[in-house]
Amino acid sequence: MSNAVKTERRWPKEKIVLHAAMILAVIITLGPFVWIALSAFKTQIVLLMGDITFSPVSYNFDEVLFDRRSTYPQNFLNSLIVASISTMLVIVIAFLAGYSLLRMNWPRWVLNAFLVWAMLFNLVPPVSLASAWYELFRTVNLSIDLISLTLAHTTLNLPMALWLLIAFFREVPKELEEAAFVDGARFFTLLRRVIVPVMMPGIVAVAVLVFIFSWNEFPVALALTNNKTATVPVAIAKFVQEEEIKYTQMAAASVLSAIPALLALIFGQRFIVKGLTAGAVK
Amino acid sequence: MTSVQLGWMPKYGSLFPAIVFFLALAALPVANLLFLSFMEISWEGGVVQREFVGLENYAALADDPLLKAGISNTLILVVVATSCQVALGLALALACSSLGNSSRLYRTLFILPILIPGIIIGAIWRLMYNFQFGIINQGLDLLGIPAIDWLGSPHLALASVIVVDIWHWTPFSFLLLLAAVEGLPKDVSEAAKVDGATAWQEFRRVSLPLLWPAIVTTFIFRAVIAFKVFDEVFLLTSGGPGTATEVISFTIYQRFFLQDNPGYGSAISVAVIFSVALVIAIALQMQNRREATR
Amino acid sequence: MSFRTVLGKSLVVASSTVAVLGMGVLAAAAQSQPPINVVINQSPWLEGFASIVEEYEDETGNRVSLDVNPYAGSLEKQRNAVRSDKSEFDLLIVNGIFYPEMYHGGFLEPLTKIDPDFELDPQIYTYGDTPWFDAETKTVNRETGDLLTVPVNPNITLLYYRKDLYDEKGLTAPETFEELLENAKLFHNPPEMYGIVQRASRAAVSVTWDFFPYINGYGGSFFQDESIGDYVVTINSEAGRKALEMYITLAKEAGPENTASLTQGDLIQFLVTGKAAHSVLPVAAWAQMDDPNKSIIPGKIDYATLPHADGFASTPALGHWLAGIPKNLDDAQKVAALEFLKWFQKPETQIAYAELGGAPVSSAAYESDFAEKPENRYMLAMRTASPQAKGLWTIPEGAEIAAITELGLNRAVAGEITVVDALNSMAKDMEKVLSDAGYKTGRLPDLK
Repeated sequence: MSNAVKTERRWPKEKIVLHAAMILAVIITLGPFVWIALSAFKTQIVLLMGDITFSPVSYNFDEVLFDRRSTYPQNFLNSLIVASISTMLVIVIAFLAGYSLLRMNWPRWVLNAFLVWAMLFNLVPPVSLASAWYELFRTVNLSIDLISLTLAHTTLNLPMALWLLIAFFREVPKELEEAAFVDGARFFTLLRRVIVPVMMPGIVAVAVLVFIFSWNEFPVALALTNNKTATVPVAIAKFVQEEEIKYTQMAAASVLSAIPALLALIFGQRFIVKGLTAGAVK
Repeated sequence: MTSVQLGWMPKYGSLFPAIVFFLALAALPVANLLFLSFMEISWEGGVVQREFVGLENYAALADDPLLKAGISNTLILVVVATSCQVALGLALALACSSLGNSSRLYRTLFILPILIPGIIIGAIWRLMYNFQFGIINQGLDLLGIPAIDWLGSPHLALASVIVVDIWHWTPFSFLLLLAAVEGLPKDVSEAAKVDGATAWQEFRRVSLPLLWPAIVTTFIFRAVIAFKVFDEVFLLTSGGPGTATEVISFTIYQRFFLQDNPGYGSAISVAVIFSVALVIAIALQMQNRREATR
Repeated sequence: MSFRTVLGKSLVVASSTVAVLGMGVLAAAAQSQPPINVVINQSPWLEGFASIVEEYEDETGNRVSLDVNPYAGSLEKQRNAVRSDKSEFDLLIVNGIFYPEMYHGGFLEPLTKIDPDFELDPQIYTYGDTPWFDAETKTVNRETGDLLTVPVNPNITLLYYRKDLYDEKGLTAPETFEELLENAKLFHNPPEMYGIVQRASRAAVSVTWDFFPYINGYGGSFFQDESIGDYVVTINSEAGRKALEMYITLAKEAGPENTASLTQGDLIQFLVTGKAAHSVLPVAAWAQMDDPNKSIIPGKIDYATLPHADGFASTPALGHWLAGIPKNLDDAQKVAALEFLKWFQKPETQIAYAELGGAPVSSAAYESDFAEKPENRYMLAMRTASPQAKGLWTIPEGAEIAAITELGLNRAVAGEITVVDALNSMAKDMEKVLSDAGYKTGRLPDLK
């Protein structure tokens, strides 16, 4: 692969091979996804029979969105609120902390303590987190509010963001900042004008991941929400019932659930490119 | 040095929010976990009974058959799946990057699997793997290959789970490594090319060393998340057949939650966290040394 | 527009306004209880339950909200609630497999403590007397125990079989395991048709639940006598051996080759795609059999109580749901929750519950005309099966025991270990769990 990568300009034929390889990868990646999406348009019996051809139906979407007892639109809105706000919080906090830890003369052990702590926090089993937070938020009377879930998701995803952003910070040449200091830039101007543009690809990548992680998080969301504040994964899990897995409704709900992240991704793409061209790396 | 010019306000102020979150929300569950691991918890008349049992919970780890199976399966899963994901993710990222703007569509499509919640991935892949009705065996049938019991055979089940994990999580590595590749200074590789280096030499000597921290970070992080694999396995195999796909998070769920034994469940978690911490510390040390020699 | 129509219209508007106002006043006057919050899991029977709850609201003016959770999440929600200072739920809908932890932990208020005159309606099935619990002896006991719960759903196992195929051959539903084996072999014609599909996959409580009717049907049991606290393990009895051998014989001679990895979802898939002649499933799955969007064999499945060996009783496994009221609530909330249960258990409510698509728990419903309709034929089987059903265990260590039996039974069906080894090792591990937990226990001598 790497061979093809760097030689394309010399041998355009390589580029064709590369595209062919990419298309193969797309097919493998997309196959199961398409199958899930198609399932959303099948009746349950058609799906279970394993029929290849079928006449599409829309009742799965009808049931997910418009059924009298459906809470999906509300769940969707809740997820949107929690995932967006917690993502913003995570990125800002992790960005500041990452910059501080890496560039502001903290003793090495502080950085390492943060890194190890952040990593280990990821290993705490969700069931223990969920019950501890339930207790905590109930004591301060937050359990029925989306605020508690937003705070919880911020805490959950902060370690990953911190780790990854630090890794990206390491790649930023120190000369950039030093040049800016010579110009007498102040802290926030420095961050905004110099660091953020260079870090843009990393920030976008991490933000997309954090958003997706928050969007798909299940165990903590389950414990900290009720019927009115439940998020999309909690709603989707309701299709897995004791005696019946509602595959097709579940597929429909998942297809709908993928939309915001997909949009964020397509939108984020432009930012990655922009971030690159605007950056002072070159 | 930079911090001298900036003063203490930015230095402490920028770390402060992170510290608040860690102390207020993250420290408590971890302390609680540690505390519980030395306890035996039961309920009597609606009131909690805590009995200090010292290291008893930890001593019990040694002869837990589920845990034993869980550890070895999880290790296999983590190593195999993570390696494949990082390798595939890197290859795709390099390819996308070199194709430039014409790879915009690929970039989006490659991310799709990660957008699906784990629970539906488990449910739908189970249908696809289904011995009698599944689309995979239908495909094999067209090629004249007899049906394979993907999830029911003790020899294949773990591999089948790993395939699902690779499919689901390669986008994670891809996204991070793409950002790293895009962040590479272009002039360096240009310079190498001008010097007449072959593509492989250029990659090996210039790009790879620059990408190495990102690769290590991606690997470690992906590995840690793989350690917690749960949702997919829950509906794919529930740990069976036998203990062929039992994973640690399953054992913890079983002991901690289903059997309502938070003391012992916490002991497993703490032991796992401690062991992984050790591995990470070593990995970090290695990375630091590498950096120092650079 | 003529004067008469205008007058007529305004009269209609006026009178309906008065009527609406009047109803509002009536409802407000009738509302005697504070609103209650019920924690329940999403299920095929939820729709029926939600409908009957709406009837209650209309009839009494009291408000009931349902906190609907994924099946796997309901237990966690309930645990968190009863263990906090004050429960956020006023009524818990507890699963028939996990209710012992609520009983033993002392989280539920005895219903007669809320209202000394409260009694379970005599027509409500008592499902192995599981509503009563003696906190002194820690046993489920109707004579000495307190009434802690009211059943709300009867999810027990039934034998599902292809009535159309049976009619073709002029057969009637099997009563013994031998008959079942014989009939299953008769229809076994893989891969088009499997004689019987049984579940043997490993999960929280899966193959254990399905095996339970077999071991009981041979006169065996998991423990000597739970009702008096005698927990000597008896799974490794002759009956246990015969039962497990029968389970495996059925799988080998008339089942799919991957029985050991089949889940409940798979069994349903075999049935609705017309590829199985028999299966053992909880009653709640019946609705999928007749829905043309979910099944190619609508109307072709009939139901019977589970088979047994000659001389023993049919013993369906309980997976029912019970409603209990947490202790950590204000008195007014407890009274309000009990008020709903009082109304819910009435025979006429139960019949209405059945008609709304719910799963009633009263013989009043199963003996009503409604049960005689051909589309409700599962209710006839329930009439026989309900009084005979038994619970797997009544102790909170059930989950730990299940972890042992799930693995042992799964491996035995998969052929990884022999029947005798499986039973002996399960008995040994079960005994250890029970003795660690302080029960009076022991085990039968090893099978040879």
